[in-house]
Amino acid sequence: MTSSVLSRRVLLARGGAALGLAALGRPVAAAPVCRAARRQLPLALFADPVGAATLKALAIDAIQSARDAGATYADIRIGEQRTFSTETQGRGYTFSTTVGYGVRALVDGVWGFRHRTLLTRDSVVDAGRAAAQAALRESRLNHALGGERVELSPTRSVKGEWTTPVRLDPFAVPIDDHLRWLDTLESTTETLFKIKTFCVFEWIEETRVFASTEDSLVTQQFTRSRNVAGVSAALPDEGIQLTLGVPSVFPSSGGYEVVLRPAFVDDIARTADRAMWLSSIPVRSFHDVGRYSVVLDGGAMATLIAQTINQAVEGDRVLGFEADAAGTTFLAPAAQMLGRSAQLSPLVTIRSDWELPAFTAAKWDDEGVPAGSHTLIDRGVVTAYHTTRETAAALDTDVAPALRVGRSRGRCLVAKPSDMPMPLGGNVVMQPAPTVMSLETLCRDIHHGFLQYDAYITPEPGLTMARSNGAFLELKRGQPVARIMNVGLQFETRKMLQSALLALGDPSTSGTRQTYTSKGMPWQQSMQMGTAPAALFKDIDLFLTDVS
Amino acid sequence: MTHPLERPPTTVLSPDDLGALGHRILSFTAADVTSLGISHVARATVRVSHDRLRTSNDGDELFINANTKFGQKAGVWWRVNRTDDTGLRELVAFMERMAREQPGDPAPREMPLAPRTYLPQTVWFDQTVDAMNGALYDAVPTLLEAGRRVKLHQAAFIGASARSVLYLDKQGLNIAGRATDAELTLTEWNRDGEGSGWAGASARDWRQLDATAIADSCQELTLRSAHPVAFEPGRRVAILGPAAVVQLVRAMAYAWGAYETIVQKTTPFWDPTTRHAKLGRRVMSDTITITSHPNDPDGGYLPFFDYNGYRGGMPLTPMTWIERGVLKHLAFDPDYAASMGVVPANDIPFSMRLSASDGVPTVPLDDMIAVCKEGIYVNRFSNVEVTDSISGMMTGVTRDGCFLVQHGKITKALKNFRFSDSPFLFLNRIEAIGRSRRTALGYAPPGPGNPRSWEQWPLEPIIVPPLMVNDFNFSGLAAAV
Repeated sequence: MTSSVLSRRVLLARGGAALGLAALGRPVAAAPVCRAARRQLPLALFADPVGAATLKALAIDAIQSARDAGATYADIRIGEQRTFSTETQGRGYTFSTTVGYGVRALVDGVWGFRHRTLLTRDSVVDAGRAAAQAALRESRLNHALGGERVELSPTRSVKGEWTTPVRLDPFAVPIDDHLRWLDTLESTTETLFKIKTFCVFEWIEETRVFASTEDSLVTQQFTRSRNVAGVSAALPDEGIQLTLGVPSVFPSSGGYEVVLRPAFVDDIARTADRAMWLSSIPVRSFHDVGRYSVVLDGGAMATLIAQTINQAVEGDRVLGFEADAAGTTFLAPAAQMLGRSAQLSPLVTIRSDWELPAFTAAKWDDEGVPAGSHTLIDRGVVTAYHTTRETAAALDTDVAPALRVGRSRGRCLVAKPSDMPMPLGGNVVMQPAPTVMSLETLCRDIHHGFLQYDAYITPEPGLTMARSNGAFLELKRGQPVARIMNVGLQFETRKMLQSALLALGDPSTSGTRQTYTSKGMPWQQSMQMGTAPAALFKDIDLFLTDVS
Repeated sequence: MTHPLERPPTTVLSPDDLGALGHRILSFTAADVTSLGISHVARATVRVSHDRLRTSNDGDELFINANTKFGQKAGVWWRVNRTDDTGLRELVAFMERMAREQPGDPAPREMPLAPRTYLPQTVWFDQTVDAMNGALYDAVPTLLEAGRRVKLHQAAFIGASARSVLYLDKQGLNIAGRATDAELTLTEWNRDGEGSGWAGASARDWRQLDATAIADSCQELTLRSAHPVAFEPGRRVAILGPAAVVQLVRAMAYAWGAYETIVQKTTPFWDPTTRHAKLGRRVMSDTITITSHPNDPDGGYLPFFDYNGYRGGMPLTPMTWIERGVLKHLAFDPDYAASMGVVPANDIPFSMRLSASDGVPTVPLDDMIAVCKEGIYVNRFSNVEVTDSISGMMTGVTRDGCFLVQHGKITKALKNFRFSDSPFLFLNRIEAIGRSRRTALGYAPPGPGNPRSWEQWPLEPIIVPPLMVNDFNFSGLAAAV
């Protein structure tokens, strides 16, 4: 949908954001945002960081201790992480430096798990021993219950190191430059549009070591950013704001160069312009609930994919392990899904992607299994699940021999080393239409329907729900006529992505969004990413959100 | 010397241990203000998934959150969980350098001069800590036995936690506390996978949890839920069991936020017509009263602001939020309370007790069913989220027990529904209210609008009754969850 989008050239001509844009004209690696050396971040917040060598030694001691206590298999994730975050509003910044680890031991088909934060040799050795002792105690109980045993799919032992490629270390950029760049971004929209931009930049450096009794020992050094940016326009209605995410600002791997991309300022200006345009569209209450054609823009679709399909293909949901917590899935049982008839529209092809620059980019997952990318849904057919070594082995017993995958897909992921390992997608990408299909084209033939920019979408419980952020437009004959604040969308994921899906947008309509989801008991929260093109749907239920 | 954390992981540090650590950190700093919030959490949990005991998940975590500040300059926030002297000294020195060079704080906040008097603490039970090292595991066979006899599929969670917390600064704040909590939950399915039941209990004191009662209740629900049929959605009489009500109450706590109500105007307690909060006005049925008290015998909480942010450690007092349906108070944090001249300050309510107002007779759940001509009994909701904060509209799905009630009896198991309704509206349509008790939440991850302290298991207690409500909006059928 067109608004009077400003080009970067126009923005430059108007003189906004001169400092930041000037920097963008130079090669990124040589682009100090502020020349004067100011307050420096220390290269390590501690003079004596734990360091990879110490972490590796502690990891080996922990799993040896578990083995000595009777574990048939044991592994550990151990790491130290430092973060630095700044934000536009409040000029505040926050530092953190944390350590932690979780030891997992398998005895007679039952896990024991022990997590701690005290990094001493005695403590990690005790944790390894305690994990094995707990597993032994619980295996006796499980045996009495006649419960099945945990089996692990085979994997090769690995030894190695991997580091996120970084051109500009965010912890080497002076703090004043961090703050000045944020000021520049904020003033871009305030000067031009009198509209607020909010940016939160969080930089993460983490050393994470994985070791197992199968002789794997992996060290990965991640540099990541958990950045978000958006613009918000106050609306005449009390208490209501219109908020739009900036498309090119999202969590990713890499150094400070990720926020110096030329698209950055362009996108902020474009998003502010769109927010201004949206806020000029009259607001009205809508009461004719029913089924309508709806177009979701790339941001809304990215959230939808991350919250629904991404979770529906988690191996533990497929196996029913999450039945008392996050839930089960409509993409089960495996024997009736994997490689079988299409469960979703042939337009739907989705892959799981841990390649750079994804936030989850890594060479190995948190079980030392090679990560990489693979297809989850191929033209509507389920071709893979998010699996760990445990879920891969359990799923293999559920499917016909010809469909067996035999090995983990490398989707064991923990948000922090002390978390319990579980299968998580991390980052899913939906393939856009190969032919030109703009947002305008998707909307063009809608006689009476709706267009949603961005959205809040509940996690997959079969029937899910999207909530407006103030950017839900009523369309008549393909044109916006009103902005609707009081409705939400309700849909069954399978039907929505099966018979209701009519068309996808081309790559220019794609958006990327992060969501936070939980699973497990006790639950653990993790960030999940999605990328998807805009999409046109028919027969989507609208429900009122403001009256009962 | 043995490090204080070198101990069995299911033992929590004492307040004295935290105090020693906190004073050690303060001794390193020359900043005008260094506020510390230190917490240590130990927990032991066991999870049964799909008929197998899959794992324990035990351990402990230390958190040190701090703010360093000079004069009227903006502060610097930092977080660490290492405890070695060398590292902490370096970190404190670095934060001081950063803080000295901060610009002026655009909104400086002066410490309110209210006296710091605290209610006694009643939320620690040694027996819960003991259970973490033994009885917890013994509960597993008891919890599973009844369902196994009739060959139900099962999932269970048994957990206990102990937490110590300290808030300390150089201006004289020094308050420590400790709390325990425990939860048992059981989910069962029929062999055909079509019917399920859920039961659970939570308590500060492990001894109050009755695994046999939970097992019996869950089994009964599960067996009754066999062969569910689809039923037309719509507005119907709803009989909501405590496990359903607790999910709604948890999701409505945000509405008491004074800042959100008065400044942001984004809660149901703001009246856009009068341009004032609805304080002193009736906002729900006069049969309902909502309170919170740190010493509530069914729950309770530490009697001070307990989050790792500014003002952690400031006293909390007992509150009446709703009295006979009338909004009596909003939750003002200390800064906002001082700026508005409001006393007392209080946090967004937790350990909420929603109960029948004095003199209103309570009605047992079975009696609600007995007097219902036609309605739907909901054992539990899940995935409850606020869809519109101004109206309080929520959506979620029924789960693990949903039944048709006709002529005073449960006649059929029903397939799950999605609902769309606002407790700020349907609590005006109360037909009957039962006796309140602490109710387990089970899986309840944080959602938008949840109080900041409600992020990790175990959540703060919520004490609720069963309710019978007219015209509850079951908005659609939901696929199985």
